[in-house]
Amino acid sequence: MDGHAMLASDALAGGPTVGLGSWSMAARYAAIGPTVDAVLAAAAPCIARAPAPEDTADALRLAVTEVLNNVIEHAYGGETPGLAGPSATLALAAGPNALAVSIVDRGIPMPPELVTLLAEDRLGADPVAEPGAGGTELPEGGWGWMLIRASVDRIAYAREGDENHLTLVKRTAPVAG
Amino acid sequence: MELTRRPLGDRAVVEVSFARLDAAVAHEFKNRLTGMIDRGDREIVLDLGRVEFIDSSGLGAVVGVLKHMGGRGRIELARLNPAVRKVFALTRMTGVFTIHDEVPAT
Repeated sequence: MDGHAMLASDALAGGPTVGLGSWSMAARYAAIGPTVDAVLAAAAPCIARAPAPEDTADALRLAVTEVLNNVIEHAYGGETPGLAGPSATLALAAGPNALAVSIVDRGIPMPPELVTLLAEDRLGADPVAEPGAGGTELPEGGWGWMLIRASVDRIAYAREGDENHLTLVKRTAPVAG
Repeated sequence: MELTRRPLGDRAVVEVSFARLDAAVAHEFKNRLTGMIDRGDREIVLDLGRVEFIDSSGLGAVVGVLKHMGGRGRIELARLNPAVRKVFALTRMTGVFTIHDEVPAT
């Protein structure tokens, strides 16, 4: 198995996984809210078993939103190629101890330097740099990966053919001691 | 986009009446608030009580409004729910703002 599949299997091992299908995201930022709501609704039974269900739901909502923001902003450069526009296919796998959300898009690959940082669990690990000389100005962005990294337990990325595959894994059970 | 502005003494309370302050609405949100500032509002309390979710775009817009006010006046926040507070905390933006649990009475 490649690293991508191993990650999901490891998190979900020990019980049945529930395939809940996929959703198409029809372009633009306005579609993100309903798409994320659908993911949360499908994940609800799994989230309900978590020690802190509301925190888990909030974290998942934030992480998936930020990933989809990135898909529009970066994978597709904020533009809408062709009539269909940016799109992503999402899938949820829910197991007894964790859930995994995968987001697949056909935009440009993640830049190699970010892929490396992600593999080292350093993407989003550093504070956002403040613009302006002397760091006297407040940033107005750049927080996306920080919020994703802080919201989930593991992030995996793979480029497969002309697709970006990003998987977010969120534990819903305490880690066995 | 539902933004309701009401006077509170010398201040203006702006109630944000939509649930998601995200990439879909951030740009317009920032434009509406900076417009208020450009038309003379110098003391604003932003009531986020009905905002259930904020992402990096929404946060960026709020920071952008703060920067637009600059030294001309004050903008404060009120009634942040846990999910919204979490985003401010994770990005280390909590200390940048004055945050009230409730909208100030005066």
